[in-house]
Amino acid sequence: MIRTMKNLLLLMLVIVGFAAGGAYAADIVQSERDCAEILEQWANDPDSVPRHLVDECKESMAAETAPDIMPFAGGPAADPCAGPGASGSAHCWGPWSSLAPAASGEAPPPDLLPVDEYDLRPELANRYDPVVGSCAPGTPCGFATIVDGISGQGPADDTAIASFDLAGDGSQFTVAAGQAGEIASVGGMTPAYTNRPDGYENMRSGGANGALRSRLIARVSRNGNGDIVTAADAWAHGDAAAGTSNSGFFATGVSLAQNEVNALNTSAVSAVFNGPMSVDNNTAATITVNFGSDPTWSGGWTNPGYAFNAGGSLIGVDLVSDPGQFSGNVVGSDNFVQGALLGPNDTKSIAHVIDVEIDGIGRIRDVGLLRE
Amino acid sequence: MLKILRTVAILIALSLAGIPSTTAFAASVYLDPSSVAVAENGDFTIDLMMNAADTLGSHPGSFGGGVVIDFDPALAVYTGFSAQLPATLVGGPTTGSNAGLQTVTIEFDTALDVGAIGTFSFTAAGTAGSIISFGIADQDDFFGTFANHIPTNQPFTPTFTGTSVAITAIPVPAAAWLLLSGLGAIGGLRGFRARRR
Repeated sequence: MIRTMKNLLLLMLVIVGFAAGGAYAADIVQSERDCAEILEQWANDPDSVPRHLVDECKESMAAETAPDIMPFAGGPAADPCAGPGASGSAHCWGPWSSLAPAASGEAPPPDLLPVDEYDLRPELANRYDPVVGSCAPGTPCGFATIVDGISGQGPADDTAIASFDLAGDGSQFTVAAGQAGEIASVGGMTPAYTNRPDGYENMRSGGANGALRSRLIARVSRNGNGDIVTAADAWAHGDAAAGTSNSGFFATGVSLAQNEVNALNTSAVSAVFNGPMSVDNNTAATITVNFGSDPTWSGGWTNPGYAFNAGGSLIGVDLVSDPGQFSGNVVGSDNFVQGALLGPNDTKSIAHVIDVEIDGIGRIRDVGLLRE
Repeated sequence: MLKILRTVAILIALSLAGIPSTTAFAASVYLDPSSVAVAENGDFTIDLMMNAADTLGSHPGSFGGGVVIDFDPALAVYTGFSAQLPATLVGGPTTGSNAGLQTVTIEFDTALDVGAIGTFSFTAAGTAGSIISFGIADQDDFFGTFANHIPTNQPFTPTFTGTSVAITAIPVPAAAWLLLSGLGAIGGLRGFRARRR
């Protein structure tokens, strides 16, 4: 029996090692051989070259001939908002267009960077394309996690991330507005507010429309008119008759106006934001934004079980991570941190989402509202 | 050695399968009567209790939620509810009826994670031998209403446990028993003297 178990372990280690080694070997083959020669040899004698090498070379050469980013030139062929994935592009209004359509009607991408800067630095757009969707200055922006059921909690692999919009009076919310799988709460939810010891108010807002029910339990801050300016924490929506529901956590607010961002960049100040995350409030987050001609940000997330760092650029009001600035324990691919700089200017905050894979821990998906 | 190998193999298999570890968080909300029995027409109280020490968030934290209790109005009369600090009443109490039972709904906030949230007061209305059953449920039977507000709002779903109170006959005071025994003794003494004559 012991021998069997040893063999089993040895076999598993060999399989893992072989898989890693195989991928490495493939890279060597691809890098050491000239694809042009491979394709030429294949053209002369199709059976003389392995099929997968031919395919890899075709893809490689095709990628080299096509630019990573189509510069925005104003023509239809170069319109970055015309293709698939446009709703998640920094060049496009994305889902926010329904909330704040451009005054010019057919809106060009928001003025996150000067158009000519894309021509000069196309790698910026490639690196900093927001995953959830760009946030236009001066508009409602937010992020949410989504799980099945009412608990709001679930394994990260079963947790989705999307945009989150909240009505200023707390009477309605929408998750993933304009996207596939949009979740719209019932209208006319009734909010009730109580005091909290941390400067926020607590808001419970709920409503029903037939069997449909919606609920928010949130920390909120309100302006003098009683309108919600920032909010975070738990949302839920479902059909009581069918017994189906979705829930999750959110962080949302109204982003700074572009002129306010410009003023901050001109003054080249730094601002530090911190607070707990909402899904796992054992995680404390701190983000420092360094305003200036090339505004950047850096952040750290600390949990009893892990900690990681990230950084990136501030483009308009979007905080988008640079894959090269994650700490070494952030592994794998598809890691990102995205946020929005929220107003008002005298009490700025950041709504953000993290989606990272921590070495030895696994995937972490969370949202948080941080205050200056 | 065999156990170690087996454990290692299981851990590797679980890791390769991507099975996450999960943690269960238990919380309970229950009714605690001042006495399991009450005399006919007697007053009694029932505490609304909570133990949410294992929920997510800070502890002691600050907890809010809403409950609805029900009982047979022929057996008990509801006379009031008072929150026990630091808990505060933020909604209700609201009385109503459901399927022949009387309901009382309250919403509270800023409660501690373990201890009494408040106290319901009643007067027994049934006859001796009756048992008053008190049920309890979340005010929102779909999403639930309970949450720990500190440091962020973390909803949770506690278990709910009701209680019951028995109605007994009005007890005879000790003085009455003494009087009766004295009268009996006097009567017995008179009978004894009469027989001697």
